Amino acid sequence: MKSIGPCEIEVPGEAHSLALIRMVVTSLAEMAGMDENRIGEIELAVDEACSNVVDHAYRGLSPHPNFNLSVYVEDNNFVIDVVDRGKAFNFNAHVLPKFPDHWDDGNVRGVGLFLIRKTVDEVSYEQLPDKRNRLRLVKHVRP
Amino acid sequence: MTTCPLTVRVEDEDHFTLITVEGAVDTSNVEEFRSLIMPRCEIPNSRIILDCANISYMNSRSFALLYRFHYTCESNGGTFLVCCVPLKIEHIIKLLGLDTLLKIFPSLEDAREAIAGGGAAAS
Repeated sequence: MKSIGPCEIEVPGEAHSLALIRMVVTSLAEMAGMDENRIGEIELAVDEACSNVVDHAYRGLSPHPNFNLSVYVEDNNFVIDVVDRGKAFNFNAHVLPKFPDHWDDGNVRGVGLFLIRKTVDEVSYEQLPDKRNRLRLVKHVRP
Repeated sequence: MTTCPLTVRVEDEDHFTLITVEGAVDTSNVEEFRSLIMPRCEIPNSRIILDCANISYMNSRSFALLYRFHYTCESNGGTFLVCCVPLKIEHIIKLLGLDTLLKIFPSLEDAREAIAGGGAAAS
C-alpha cells in the first residue's frame, strides 16, 4: 500500500475554499489507488465536513478564521483531519435520520452528517487542548 | 465572493422545460442552483426534465433541493423528471433513498418519452 503525506493545507474558512479542498483530496485519493466510487465518497465526506465548519462552526464570526486540513495515507487508511477554530460540535451526539422517511416528514436537516457517516469508515471528533476542533475522517483505500 | 463554476440552462421546448446543469453544486453556489430552478417548479402544471449529465459534484443541500424541486412541482400539478445522472451521484441518491421518490431516467430520450406519455414511472 502506498504511503502518502502528510499533506497539510490551510485555507480561508469560506465556501469558496471547498472546490480547492475537493481537488486536493480527490487527487491524493487517486494517488493512493482508491477506486472511483470511493473517491466520490471521500470527496463528499470532506466537502460536508468543511461546509459544516463554514456554515455552523463559524456562524457569527467575522471574519471567518482559516481552517486546516491534514491528509495522509497509512497502511490501508486514507485519513483526513479537519481542524477549525469555531464553536465546538459534539458530532457523536447526532442521531442519524432514516431515509427515505426523513424526506416524507418534509425534513431537510441532518443530511450532511448522515452522508459523512455513510461514506467514511470511521469518523471521530475531538476538542484539542488549544480549543480547536478536530474532525477525523478515515476511509479504507481498499474495502 | 468567488463561487464554484455552475451553469444552469433553461429551455422551453414544445411540451416541457429542459433544465441542463453543468458544473459542481456546493455551499458556494447552492442558493444560485435553488433560485434558478425552484421558480420553474412553482409554476402550476409544469413539466420539467432536469438533465444531470454534466454535473460533476453535488453536496447534501443540493440533494435535498432535488427532493424539494420534485415535491414542489408535483404539489402544483406538474411533473419533475431527472435524467442522465452520473454514477457517483446516483450512488448517493440511492444512499438517501431518493431513488424511490424521484422519477429518474437513464437518458434524455427516455425522459422525453415519459413526458410525452404523461410522465410515466421511471425505470
